[in-house]
Amino acid sequence: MIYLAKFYGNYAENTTLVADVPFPQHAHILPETFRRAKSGLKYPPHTLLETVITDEAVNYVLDNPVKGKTAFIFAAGNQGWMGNNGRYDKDDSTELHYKVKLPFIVLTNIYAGRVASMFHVHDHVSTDASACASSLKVMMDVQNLMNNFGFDRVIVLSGEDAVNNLTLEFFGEAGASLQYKDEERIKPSAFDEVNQGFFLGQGATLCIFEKQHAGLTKPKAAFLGAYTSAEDNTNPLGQRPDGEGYSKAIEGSLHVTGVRKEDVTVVKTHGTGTEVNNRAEKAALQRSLGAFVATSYKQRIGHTMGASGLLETGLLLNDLECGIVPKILNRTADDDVFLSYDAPAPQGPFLSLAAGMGNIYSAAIFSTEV
Amino acid sequence: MDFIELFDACVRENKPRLDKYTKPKSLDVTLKEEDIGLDSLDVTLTFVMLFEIYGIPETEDFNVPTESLRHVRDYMWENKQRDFDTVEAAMEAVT
Repeated sequence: MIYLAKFYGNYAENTTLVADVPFPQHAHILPETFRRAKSGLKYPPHTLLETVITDEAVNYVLDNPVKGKTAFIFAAGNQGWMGNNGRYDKDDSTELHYKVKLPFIVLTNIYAGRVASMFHVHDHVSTDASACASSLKVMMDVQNLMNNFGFDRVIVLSGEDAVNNLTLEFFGEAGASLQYKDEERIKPSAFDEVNQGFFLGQGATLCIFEKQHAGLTKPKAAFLGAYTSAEDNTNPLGQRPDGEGYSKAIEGSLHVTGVRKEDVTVVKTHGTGTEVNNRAEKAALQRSLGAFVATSYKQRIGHTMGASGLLETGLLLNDLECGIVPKILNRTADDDVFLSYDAPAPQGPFLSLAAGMGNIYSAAIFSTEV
Repeated sequence: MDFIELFDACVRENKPRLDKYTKPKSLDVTLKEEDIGLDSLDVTLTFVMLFEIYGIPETEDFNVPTESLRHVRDYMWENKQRDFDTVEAAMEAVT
């Protein structure tokens, strides 16, 4: 059995209006992570990530050695790290502009090595760039390392290249993030007839997965297994309306775990609230599962991109511990499946979903029965 | 402004974990990892912050002599374009 031994997350519940970009929009920003960023001395994504690399986490790993090998994986979202690259960020007067004095330090593999050394990890270090599916996609790697290669502990750090001018303009231009001009008539939600996407959000998480050992007490959940799929689609930015990619990921995760589809009672959706995701994810869930209730966290913390899959999974675990599956905020229709109200937490395994640009769909199954 | 205190403040800004770091007791300490507990990346990041504080052009980044902290201090002082009365003021000036 693989356990989620420790979960640390950071995110912003409040939103800030970012007005000085071509597509003005609110975003869930942690202003303190932009400290010393304009000079290029500090790099906002690293400042954020280091808030979840706590002394408690490091000391737990160092004080509780495991018998088998230890791995460190950095789920980095997108490899385009560096806020001042590309065509979007040439105006350095904007609020979120930052630069990088030493470009090599933002290379995700160098940063991964730096953090891995804090945990004294010397068996395996890797990075992942599966876009917004990144942190759930690496669960397939966690499973593989621990089931097939003698690893007893895998530390997963996940994040994204902040919320910067590039990401705001990119998602704004794509019509995926909700723009300020539309806020009077619509709020971020999902699975309604009319939604218009999400607010972006900064977020990071550190998760420690382990097999049973003497120092492991009160694990947060059992990790049963995961699968990541693609779908037959010629558009790497699009999603098939029939949700083939999601279905293949869900069914792959059911197969690898041996969990029956009717036993999955709760789903943490990707839940971006874009029209294409509403259609695809709903179709896949209705086809591939039995009776379930579904929630989404992006309306509460924004779309934290690379961190979103695992970060939202940890937040669901917190809510399940409190006995509830929270509603999807701002729903405009009553719904007892894609919840428009808080529901009591049922027993049984739960499914986490994530999707990423580039035709990537991830599903992971956890259980609170540990 | 005490250079050891300034150096220490810059290290603390740039090194995520300080368990291996030993604050220099004198300017004669070397910058070798076994002496001070900083790896090459820690040292580079610390130098870059010192450059910013002293207003030294980035083109000088890789010319800093590293035989000892005294060599580093002398180099910074010879090339500085500005200075501060206190460590607090220096750190505050870096945005």
